[in-house]
Amino acid sequence: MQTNADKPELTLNPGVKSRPQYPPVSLNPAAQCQVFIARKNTTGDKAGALLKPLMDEAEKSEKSLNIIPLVVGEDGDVISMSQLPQTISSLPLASSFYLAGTEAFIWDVAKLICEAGFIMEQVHLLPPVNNERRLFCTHCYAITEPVTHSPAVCSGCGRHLLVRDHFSKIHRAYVGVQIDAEDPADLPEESEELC
Amino acid sequence: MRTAPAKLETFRDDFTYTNSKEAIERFPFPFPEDEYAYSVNIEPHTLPGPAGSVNEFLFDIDEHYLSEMAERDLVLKENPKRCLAMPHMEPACWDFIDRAMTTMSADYPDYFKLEKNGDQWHWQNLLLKLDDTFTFGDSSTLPCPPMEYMGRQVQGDIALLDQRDGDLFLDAGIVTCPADWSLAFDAGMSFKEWHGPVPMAHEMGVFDRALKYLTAIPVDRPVRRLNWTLTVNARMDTSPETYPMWGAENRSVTPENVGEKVYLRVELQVLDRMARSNALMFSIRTYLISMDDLVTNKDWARRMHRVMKNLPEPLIDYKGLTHYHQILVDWLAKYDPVN
Repeated sequence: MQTNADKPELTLNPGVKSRPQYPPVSLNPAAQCQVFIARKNTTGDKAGALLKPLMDEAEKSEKSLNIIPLVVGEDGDVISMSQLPQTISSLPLASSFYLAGTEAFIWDVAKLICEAGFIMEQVHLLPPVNNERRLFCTHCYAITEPVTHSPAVCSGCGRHLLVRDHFSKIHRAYVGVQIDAEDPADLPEESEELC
Repeated sequence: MRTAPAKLETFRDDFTYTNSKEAIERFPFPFPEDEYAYSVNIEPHTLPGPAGSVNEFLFDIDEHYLSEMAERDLVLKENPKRCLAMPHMEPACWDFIDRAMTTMSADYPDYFKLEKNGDQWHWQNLLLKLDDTFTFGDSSTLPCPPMEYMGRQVQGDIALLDQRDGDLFLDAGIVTCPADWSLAFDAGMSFKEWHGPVPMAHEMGVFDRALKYLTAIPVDRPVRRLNWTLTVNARMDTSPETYPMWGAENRSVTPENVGEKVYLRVELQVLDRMARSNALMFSIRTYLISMDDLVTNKDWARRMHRVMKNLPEPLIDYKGLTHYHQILVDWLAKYDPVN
């Protein structure tokens, strides 16, 4: 017989478990090649600042044979996203990658790295530099980005989407569901800033 | 008892879906106790189960077969992405075809016939009037991709889970009657990722235990569990994709129409190991029963009242019952004399 005492304690946690966590990143001293990839940032170099302590540490280490900093952007002095796969595939198998930028960017790059034959254990994601999200509309499948508030207007169907914390690594996006499908009065007057 | 598929009913617009007396009797009522508690309620799906019951065969074919296949066709025509299979899932799709055709032709010889001549297979689905010959394992010899081909011939949603690194990945499926989850969005997710939005269960360790159990399922030892929610109107396709079309119906329940509007929606979930690919077939067979039909069974009516009354708030929200839960509890109270 099950009694109330046997029942597990319910602790309510509103957090959705598919939302990525970004625990502190430390340098993998065994890597043959330390690869630092940052998104070129127009509003200050937050991504670079996140990577700097790790790069400093790598430079002091005697084991690391190679330190490769890559800045991804559109200007002439940086590498473009479309050039990245070729660069990545030329790296030694025993490389470690450290990625910093917006959340969509770091997951996009992680995908390219895995497609080049590396495994996710070699990829270290620094916390996203801001609250910008990529949003997948569950009704028309269109992508809207960057999204910083909820609800957000879908770029495809124009519906007002509640931005949920449910994240897909395949789409590198959060899911959005129409907020006022049950009643148009459910549309809040003001949108809420995402964290 | 099982009634033969004959009638053609709708799960949308005019909602002509009804259950025969036999279908009500065999309905898989999901509550073993007066209080609903989360649990890893998985048990062996020993075949054959009791004659005529929903557990008799691996694939339960009932009086709604033709209607559900017609509904599936409508959903796929509106949105072909409701069915998908990643390229590495091809062998698992063929495993699914093998398992379905082999068991269905043995379990329902009047409806399905299979002849194998080496890798040349001859399949007849007399209910849907299909007569196909193909080379087993060669998808180019089928009229459509293998996941869709077989998925269009079984009731219930099917997901094929790839097993690797001790985890299960949602890498193929045909999902046209889901209880509010999107295959297109959840595709490729790990077991815990696609259960991410489920409240409370993660903290209770439900998914850790379930995953350990599921990854160890051997061939020919399927397991099952029941899951449930409520649906307004006999709508099979309660997907996020079509939510803008049906969301407003959640507000249409009144004390007068509860009995006919609110349906208990039960999923018979079966997990079955695929022999060649080592994938897990996850079949989600959905049964709908109106409150009016449910309360014809006095034990069910009383228990339904008690379970609904004691349902924790996070589950009411998660299952989308917020706007009619209290109306339902009040309506059910008259079937529970103690209250």
